[in-house]
Amino acid sequence: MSIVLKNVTKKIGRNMIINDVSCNIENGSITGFKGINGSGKTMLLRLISGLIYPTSGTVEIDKKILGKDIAFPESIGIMLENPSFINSYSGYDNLRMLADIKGLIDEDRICEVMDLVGLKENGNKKYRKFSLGMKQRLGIAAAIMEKPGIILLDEPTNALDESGVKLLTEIIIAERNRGATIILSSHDAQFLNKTSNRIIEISNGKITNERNNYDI
Amino acid sequence: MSLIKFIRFDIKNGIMRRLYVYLVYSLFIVVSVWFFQGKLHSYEIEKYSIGDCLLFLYGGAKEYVPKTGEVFEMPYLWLVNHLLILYFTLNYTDNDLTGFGQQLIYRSGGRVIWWLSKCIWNIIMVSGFYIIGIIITLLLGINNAEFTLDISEHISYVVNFGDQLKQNHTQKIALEILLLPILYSVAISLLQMSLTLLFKPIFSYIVSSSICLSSAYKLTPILIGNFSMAARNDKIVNNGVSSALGIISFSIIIILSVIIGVLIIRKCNILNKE
Repeated sequence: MSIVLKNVTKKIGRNMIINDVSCNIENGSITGFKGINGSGKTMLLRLISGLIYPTSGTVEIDKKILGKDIAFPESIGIMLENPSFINSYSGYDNLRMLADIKGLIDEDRICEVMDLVGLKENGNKKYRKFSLGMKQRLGIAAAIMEKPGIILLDEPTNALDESGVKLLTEIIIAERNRGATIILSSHDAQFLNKTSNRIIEISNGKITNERNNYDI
Repeated sequence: MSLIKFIRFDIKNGIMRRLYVYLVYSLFIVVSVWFFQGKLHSYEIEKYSIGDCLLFLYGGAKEYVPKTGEVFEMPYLWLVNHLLILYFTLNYTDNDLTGFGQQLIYRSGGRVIWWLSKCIWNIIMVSGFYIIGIIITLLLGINNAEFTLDISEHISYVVNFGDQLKQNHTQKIALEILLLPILYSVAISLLQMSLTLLFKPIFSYIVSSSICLSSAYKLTPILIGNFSMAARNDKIVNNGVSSALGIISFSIIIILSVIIGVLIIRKCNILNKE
């Protein structure tokens, strides 16, 4: 799925969060948004997800304008910073509840994804007992389990140890190879260099630099 | 995603997993009924009807007319009942929208369906409080209450209707003592819920509780809480408000709250709690 941002501006109150951002994100690519905290990366992901709409400009998903033609991208998996789940449910039950909405996947796929992100052993543990790293892994599992066309991962390396980051990198590459369009936001340059075809630097809500990563 | 799935989720997470709120409310009702029975006892009245008890719980107080020697009589039970219900229905929607609900919304592909489900949750949740109120009233009245919604002659000793009491005030007033308080709770709670889409829940609560408080203080159809007080209804007192106008007002607020919510949710920013 292709994503096109045209002169996207987002103001919240008097604060200009995103300032006239335009970019094309190709189908089946991995794009990394790089920037410091508060640069506007998370807000850009929220704009692409349809959870917020631009003050001006448009976000197009496969030529359909978000907020006009469609409310949300038709096939999307999102993990925004600090993913929220239901504390009193197990990790597995949280995923099952989410999967039940679309009814696209069965229990075997949920188990497969739990295994993929390294949570198989802890699948029946209550979410409230999860460590930060486990919560992050569950967020990643929720984002990829339905094999969506677009995957948005906001600071996915947060709270992950070295082996977790390695696993995440493998998952992201595998999802890209499956054909998903992936957008990452991170302040971790090394992680973005290892995963992203294209790295877009954001500062104060503006694109300040953009480069292709030919190592990928 | 079908609306049914959302409603199922909300019943499970917004009601079944929050049954403690009904427990707290039950305690309030039990204490209130005991208080009512104690008051009857002090007047040496042995028998009462379920209607009497519900009137005591939900009926409010007589109109306050500021004049020398007249002391404002706060309808405490009426007020606590509505403030409790408003408080217990305050945070669920906001917590869902700023948390787990975000994952449901984008997966469902629509924002409006999420809102409609929350409206239905709200109606079920509020009705639940009154169902519990009725059940407890029935259980605590097994020994000495008549199971009828008619109100007794002697109830005017317990509920002070003031000097405007009508001669035939013991007529059937089931609508006034039960349906109107429920409709008011649903209307004000939905209004509060739609405001939480725009403001922080605490501000919505201030608005809704201000409507309740000001309704207690002044008898006017503009302050809609008056319609929910049987003690200010024109079937019981001479200068009361009409039930029909109450039903119309509450229905308008319910419909408007749902529509306003739809308009807001279609455009609002869905952000994390920060």
